This record gives sequence, structure tokens and C-alpha cells, in this order.
Amino acid sequence: MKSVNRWKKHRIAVLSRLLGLYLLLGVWSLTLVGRLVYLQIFKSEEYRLKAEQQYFGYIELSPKRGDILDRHLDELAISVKIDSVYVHPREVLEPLSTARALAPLLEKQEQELYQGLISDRPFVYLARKIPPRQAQQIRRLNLPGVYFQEETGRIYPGRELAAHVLGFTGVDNEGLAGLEYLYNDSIKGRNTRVHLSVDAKRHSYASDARWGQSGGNTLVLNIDRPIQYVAQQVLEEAVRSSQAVSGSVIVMDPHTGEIFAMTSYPFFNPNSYADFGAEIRRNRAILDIYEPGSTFKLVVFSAVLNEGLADPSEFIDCQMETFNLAGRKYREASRGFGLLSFNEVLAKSSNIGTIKLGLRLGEEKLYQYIRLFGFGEKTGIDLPGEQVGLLRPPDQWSKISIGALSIGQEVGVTPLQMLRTLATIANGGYLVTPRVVRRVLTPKGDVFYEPVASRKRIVRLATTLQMKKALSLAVTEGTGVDAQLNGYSSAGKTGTAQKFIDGEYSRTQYVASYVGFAPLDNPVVAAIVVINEPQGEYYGGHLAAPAFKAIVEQSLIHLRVPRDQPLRMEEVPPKTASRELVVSQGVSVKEEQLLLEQLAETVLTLIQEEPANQKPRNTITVDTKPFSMPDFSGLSLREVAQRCTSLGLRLKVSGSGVAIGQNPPAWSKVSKGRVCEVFFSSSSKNASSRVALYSDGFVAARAP
Amino acid sequence: MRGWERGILTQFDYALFLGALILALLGALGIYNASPDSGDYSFFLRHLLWISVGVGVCLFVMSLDYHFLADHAFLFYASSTVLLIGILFFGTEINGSRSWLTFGGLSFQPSELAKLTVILLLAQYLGQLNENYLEGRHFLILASITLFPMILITIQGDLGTALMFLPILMGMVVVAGVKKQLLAGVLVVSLCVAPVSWFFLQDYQKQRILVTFDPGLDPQGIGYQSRQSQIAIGSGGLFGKGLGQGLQSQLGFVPEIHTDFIFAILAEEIGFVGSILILMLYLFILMRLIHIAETARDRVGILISTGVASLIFFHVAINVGMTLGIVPPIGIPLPLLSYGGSATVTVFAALGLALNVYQRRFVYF
Repeated sequence: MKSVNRWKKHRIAVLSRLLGLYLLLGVWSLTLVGRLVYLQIFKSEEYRLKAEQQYFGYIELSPKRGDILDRHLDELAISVKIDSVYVHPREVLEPLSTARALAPLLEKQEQELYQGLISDRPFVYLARKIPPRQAQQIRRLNLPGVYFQEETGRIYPGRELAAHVLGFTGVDNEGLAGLEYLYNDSIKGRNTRVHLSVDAKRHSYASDARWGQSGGNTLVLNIDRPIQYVAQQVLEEAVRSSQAVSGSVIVMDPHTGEIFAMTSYPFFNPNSYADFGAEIRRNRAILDIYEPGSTFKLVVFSAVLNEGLADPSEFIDCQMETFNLAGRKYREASRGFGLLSFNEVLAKSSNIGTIKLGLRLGEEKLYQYIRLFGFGEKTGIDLPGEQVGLLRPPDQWSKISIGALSIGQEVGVTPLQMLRTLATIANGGYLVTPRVVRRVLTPKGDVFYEPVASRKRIVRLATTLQMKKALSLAVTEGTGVDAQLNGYSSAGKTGTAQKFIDGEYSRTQYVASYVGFAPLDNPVVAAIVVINEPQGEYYGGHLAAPAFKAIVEQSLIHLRVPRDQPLRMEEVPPKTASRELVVSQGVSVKEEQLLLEQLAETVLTLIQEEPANQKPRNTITVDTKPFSMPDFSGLSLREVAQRCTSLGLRLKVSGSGVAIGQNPPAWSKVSKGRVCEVFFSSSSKNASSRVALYSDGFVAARAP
Repeated sequence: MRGWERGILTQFDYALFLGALILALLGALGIYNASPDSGDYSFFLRHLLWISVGVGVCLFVMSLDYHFLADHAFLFYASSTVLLIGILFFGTEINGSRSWLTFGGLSFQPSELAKLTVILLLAQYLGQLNENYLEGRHFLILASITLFPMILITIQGDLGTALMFLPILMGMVVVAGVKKQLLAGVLVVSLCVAPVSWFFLQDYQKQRILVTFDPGLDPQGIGYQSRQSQIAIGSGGLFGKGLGQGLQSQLGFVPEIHTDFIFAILAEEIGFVGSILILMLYLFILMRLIHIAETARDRVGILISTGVASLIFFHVAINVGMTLGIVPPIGIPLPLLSYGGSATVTVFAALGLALNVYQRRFVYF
């Protein structure tokens, strides 16, 4: 009993102590609840932001830069996905061996890579924009800490083709020159910010982003790829054979100012623009100022006609020896001409006759016409950096300036300004604004912007008709006979200017040029060829005129312009023919092959880059093994079709009758699936003639 | 036989048992959501297995009379101590602590078991003392019972677990009866000893303590865990981000999310409301345990349930304090919620002891 009482008493003591436990429990609970209230209610917003900062990352996806296409929508500049390699140095386990493995693939020094791999920074680029094949090899190595970032790369499949017009883009996809620079804002597209979750190790996951969702606009140019190609090939040949320093060619539609081709030599390859000096990357056609010489004479002739200061039927005494103007002696380039008709003065390019006409105009009128023809101002072409040239106003002229200007001295012009002047005569008196861009398309293909052709009349139609006669005479009988086209009428003017160096006209350094258009009555093409500092032969008529002929002839055929003159079979100079053979077999085949390899590689990479965890897809087998193109010439449509099918080529037919030409050319390396364009003609007469057809290169299908 | 049946069926504390089970399942849910990769549910499944084992052990412990267990307390104590010694030679090191015994594929922490055997032995020793207040010599024995395993566990490198023995001892001693002067004395001494012990701590341990009071000290290093846990909890807000939406925790920002910091992911996903619910469940379980102590038949029963209550209370208090950033992170699990076989089974076994006492609270049967 006593023990029971004792237990009860003891129990009460114990229970009172348990109350202490309750108290402790209560205090702790309140503390925790208080802390929870603080964290989850008062600070909740702050912590929510902090958390999101940690796990919601975003990346700037570079958009797909819009393509640049020629007038037939063939690709001049395209964007492809391309990999950059970076590392998280903390995750790199063996920096030394990693550097050793990467060095040959990235073509970099081991030491340089090693520094990157042991860097303190969390993120280090090892190489930006590496070729797909190397990226694949590095992927296969499966090196810890080495990652790839997909970037947009710019590829110019035509390499040097129209490079000066297109310009190029830097490693960060900003246009740095040419159209890429001028239209940068329009074609680069907007950066897409893609939100994604990032885990504690900074690995991102759950990204639904697709590359290039908001791509840039597409540029469609007036450039005609085949004309551009032939212009470049011919210019290169002309500059090389004359050992000249540089040269330019522009081919333009004289009515609208649409630029079919514009090129300057030396060429550069925009895919590796850094390998070329700034001097080489200059678009000389609009940047180089040269003294035009005789080609400038057509300003004076147009002016006197337009002002009624000369009668086309009059004869002008061009004298036999020299002509004195304010103490300066002017002489003809060759022997004196004596009495010449108005047209002959221009056709034979008489300096004395032209100066006499210039004197009729007087300083004010001459200056007025020079300005009217657009000299001393920009043509307004949609390319960056165009030069205005050099032209002094009359109050700064000397006594002899009027004579000098009449024959194209004391004035600096760009090739494009000169071509525009000639186009005015070709199109009936309108000054046109040259245009490179035909239209700008949105990524969906809608027209975003289309420049309106602008032109203004500056001389009367009658003036231009008379000028055409004079200029065609220059081709048939005058200084421009070498420019005479086979099968087409044409008009044009040669120019040979001594370079003005250190205050006097050089006797060794010249600029040879030819500017002309064809066909005569309804001109389709106007072109200028400028060869700077040729060695040896320097007359524009002998240097630039054949180049003009080669370019314009093939351009007219390409543009399907009907002939207005009989073909002169025998007169095909063997030199020209062999040159074009070089064009079609040497350079273009090699180029074509390179291009194919590049594209095939890209396609393969794209296929292999599909994420592996997706449901199995139908495998696409790309047979990339190249084979030689057969020669289809002389075959019927049916025979061609059969051979194409058996070879796996996709046939595109133009015309009917017997095959006379093809693209790609015979014997060039092609692979299955390639589109093959074959040209047919029903007239055997045509088949026997040289018909130049285009591809990435031209090919001459010769008579069987 | 009749009594046993009656005990099982009518004297079973369903409320306590169900409360514990709900918490354990909540823990499983947290572990499910904390699975590092969706699709890898091995942690979740293993945890469910451990819960079932725990429930089994709980019922088994409950079925043996606690007097029998208390009578053999020293035997259990000795066995667990042998295991703790054995671990020094045969243990497996995980996360820097050599506190694991591995049989086959299963890892087991004897230090968890030691918590139970210490409680039993302390209860047995204190229970047979028929005195209102403890005296110095008693403390000598109590201290040796507790310190021996503590030292062994500290040697293993798990100071956090070792320290958890002290509050258990304290709770049981207070309930067993101690003079207020002595209690005050102990408090004063520990307050004096604490600054001195600072010099015996390892650098990383000092860091942990410093960082708790000034999280800005080392945001990327030691403070990182605690800071990330607070961000997770704070960002949960009032109602949470929703189950499976706790990105902060799931993306690996909070280390040890499925073990020591399980509370963080639950607080992030079910918010303040859910956190309070969890804390209330713990409060409920603890109140049931104290109630069991109040209604216990004898001194041993009181002390056993007091020990169990202390064990759970101090673990919860310190672990949740740790995740909330008010206690230095010392790496102890949250009872019933955290992933971990040994801890889960130990807590269920401890609950089994309490249920055992509750079942046998009446003198007659």
C-alpha cells in the first residue's frame, strides 16, 4: 500500500516534468513555424525569383540568316548549321591528353588548347565554326567536358562568284561588307531567346527550341549567276593574259538598271575572307576611280547633238598633226585623221575632233551635261561605299580643262558611272538607277520589299538614236572591231587612258576599257570592261573589247535573245574558244566537285545529327560516290532520258530536238540525284555552231 | 493469450501508428519527386520496402513485453556496441563517414541501432532507481552508458549522429528526476564548455556553425546547401509549386535532397500549408508519445516512451531547423521522411517500443 502511494506521488512528479517536455515542444514548434512564415510567406517572392534565376536559363539562338539568291533563285549565299566547340574546364578530367587529341582536329597548338582546358573560367570556346567532318570526329572521341554549340554559318557555295557584291559576314554573323553589310538588319533576323531549365551542374534540359525560328529575309538579286560566272572567267583571263593589276566588269540591263553581273579582279573567297587583303576585297566596280579617256567622249557627242550644236551629216576637220589649245598640244592616239564625218569622229575616237565639238559646247554646257549624265554624284546603287568620282566645277578649271574633259581627262569616274552613261544612250535617253537587289522576301516567301525602277529622261530620243549609229559604226569600222559580236549587232566605245601619276600622264601605265551594249535596236545588255594597268598591249580596243565580246555574246545567248546578225562561222578566234574550254573543263569541274563535296557533307551531317532517342526514322541513303557526266550531245530526248534514269540523274529538259548542251558539263563529277539540265534544239544549223550554255560553268557543246 | 489479443486489438494506439504511417508515405512521395531522373524510381521503391520492413519490426517489437526487453537491455547494448567497434574494422565509408556495415547489397548503420539500445539501457537503469532525484554517482553511470557509443560514432566520423545521444539522455534524465540546482549547473557548465570545445572542432565544423549565423560568408561552399534549401522552401510560397513541380530541388540545387533535406522538397512543392501539416503530424505523434509516457504503467515505461519521444523530437527539431537555416547542418535524417533503411527501421522500432508501453499500460492482464 505504501509502495502504491509512493508510486502515485512519484508519478505526479514525473508528470510535472513531462509538462516541461510539452513546453520545449511548444517553443520549438513556434520557432519552426515562425521561420516557415518568414521564409514561405514574407520572403516567398524573393526566393521564388532567386530560384528562377538559378534554374531558368536562356540562350540566345542565332537566327537563320536569310539566303541571297540570284534572279533565278539559285543560291549565292546560304546559312547552315555549324558547330562551335567549347569546354567546361571543371569537367575536363585529363587536360593534357584532351589537348593532344583535339589539337590536330582543330588545327591548333596543343599548348594553346591546354591553356583553355585548365582555365578558371566556367566556359571557354576552343574553336568557333568548325567543319562538320571535324565536329563529327570530335564527337566520336566523347571527351568529358567538351561540348558543342550549334551556330549559324554562312556559306558562299559559288566561292568567288559575285563575292564583291555579296560581301561577307564575320564570325558573329554580322554582315561586314557588300550586300551582307548593307542589308544586314533585314536578312540577319531576330535573335530568339529560348528559355530552358538548367540544373545545378548547368546542364540544360527540356529545350523545345528549334534553330532559326525567326530567320531573316531573303535577298533576291538581279544578278544572273551564269552571266556573273562568265564575266568573272573572262575578266580573270583578260587581266591575267595582259598581266594587268586589276579589272572590273559590270553587266546591266540598260532599261531598268538591273545589274546582271558585277565583278572585280582579283577575286576573293568570302568563305575565308580573312585570307584576303582589304585591297582584294574592294568592289572596284563602284569604288575605283579611273580616268575614263575616250569612253567619256560620248558625253560631248550626246551634248552637242542634244543641244543642236552639230549636224550628224557634217564633216569635221580632225587635222593631220596636232591641235593647240591654250598652249597644250593635243594629238591623236595614232596618225592624224584629216576630215571625218560626225559619226566617224566618235567611231575612230578622234581626240581633236572631239575637243572641237567640246569647244562648241563651252565650259558651262559641258559641265552641265557631265553632271546630267550623273558624274560627280553617286549612281544610287544599293551597295555600300559607292564613290562619287572626281569632278571639278568650271570655276576651278584651267584654260585647257575643256579640252581635257572632252576626251575624258581631268575627270575621275567609277566603272558603274561610265556604264550608266552608256545605258542612257541604249535606252533612249533615260538615266537609270542601278539595282542589285531585285526583291526582298520574308522567310515565308512573301514580298517584303521590291525596289521601284527609277529613271529620268536626260537627253532626247533623237539624240540617242544618232549616238547609237555613231557607236555602232565604232564597232563595225572604228576602234571597237574586236568587240564585234557573232550573231548580234552592238554598239560601244573603247577607252584608253594614261594614268595620271605625279602630275603627268604616264607613258607606261594605262587603263583600258570598253563600254557597249547589244543588240543595237533593242538593247538587252549593257556592259563595261575596265582593265587596270595592263602590260604590253594597252589599247582598250584590243584588250577590253574582246572581253566585252565574250561576255555579252554569251549573256545574250543565255538570255535567249534572238540573233539579228548572221553567224560568222570561221571567225571564231581559236584563242577565245580555247579559253572557254579552259573555263568549262578546268576550273568549273574542280569547283563543281568541291561544291558537291561540301553539300554532301552538310546533308550527311544533318541526317546524322538527328537525336538518337527519337523514334526510328526511315534511313535515307545518300549515295555520294561521284561519277562522270556522260556527253549527251547529239542524242535524242528519249535517249537522254533513258541514260539519266539509269544513272539516277534528275532530268530537266529545255527545248526540243537533239541535245546540244548540258549542265553539268560532260565529264564533270556528279553524284546520284543531281539535277541535270539538257538543252535541245531542232535546227541542225544551231547544233553545228558553238552554243554556250551555262551551269556553274559554261560549256561549249561542239559540233559532232 | 486473451490478454495478448486484447492488447493487440484494443490497446493499440491506432492514432500514433497511422500518423507515423502517413508521414512515412509523405516521405516516400518526396523521395519519388526528388528522383534525380524521371524514370529512376529505385530510391522510391526501396524506401517503400524499408517502410514495410519498418512496420514489421515495429509490430514485432511491440509484441514482446517491454519489461522483457528492458531486462535484457544490457545484452542489446553490448551487441550494438560490438557492432560499432566492428565497424571500425569492417565498415564501409559513405559520404566521409565510416558508419556503414554492408551485408550483400544492404547497407546498415549500427549507430542508428545504438540509439535504441541506449534508450533501453538508460530506461532500464533509471527505471530501477527508486529515487526522486538523481545523484552524482548515477550520472557517472548514465554518462558512461551514453558516451561509450558516442565516442565510437565520433571516431567513425559522424559527429552529428553522436551528438544526438545527448538530448536523448537529457530528456530522460529530466523526466527521471534531477535537482533543479544540478540541472542549472549542467546548463552553466555546458555553456562554459561550448566555447572551449570550439577549439577542438575541425575547420569544416567551425565553418558550418559560422555559416549558419552568416549565410553570406560562403555562398558557394559550405553555406551553399543551407542557402539552396532555404531558396527551395521560400520559393514554395503559401501553397507550393505543386507535386512534381519543385524544380529548385529536382534540378539538383539542393544536395542530399532525398535524405537530410527531404523537408525542403516537400516544403517547396506543397508550400507553407503543407509544411505546417507535416509539422502538425509530428506534433501529434510527439503528443501521443508524451501521452503514452503519462499513462505508462511504471517508471521503465515512462522512461522508454520519454526516450522515444526525445529521439524523434530532437531529430525533427534539428533537421527541420537545419533545412530552414537556423541550425548548422550536422547531417542527421528527418525521422520517417528521409530516405534511409537503418533510420526508417530504427524509428519504427522505437515507435514499436512506445506502442508496447501503451499496450501494457494497465496493471491487470
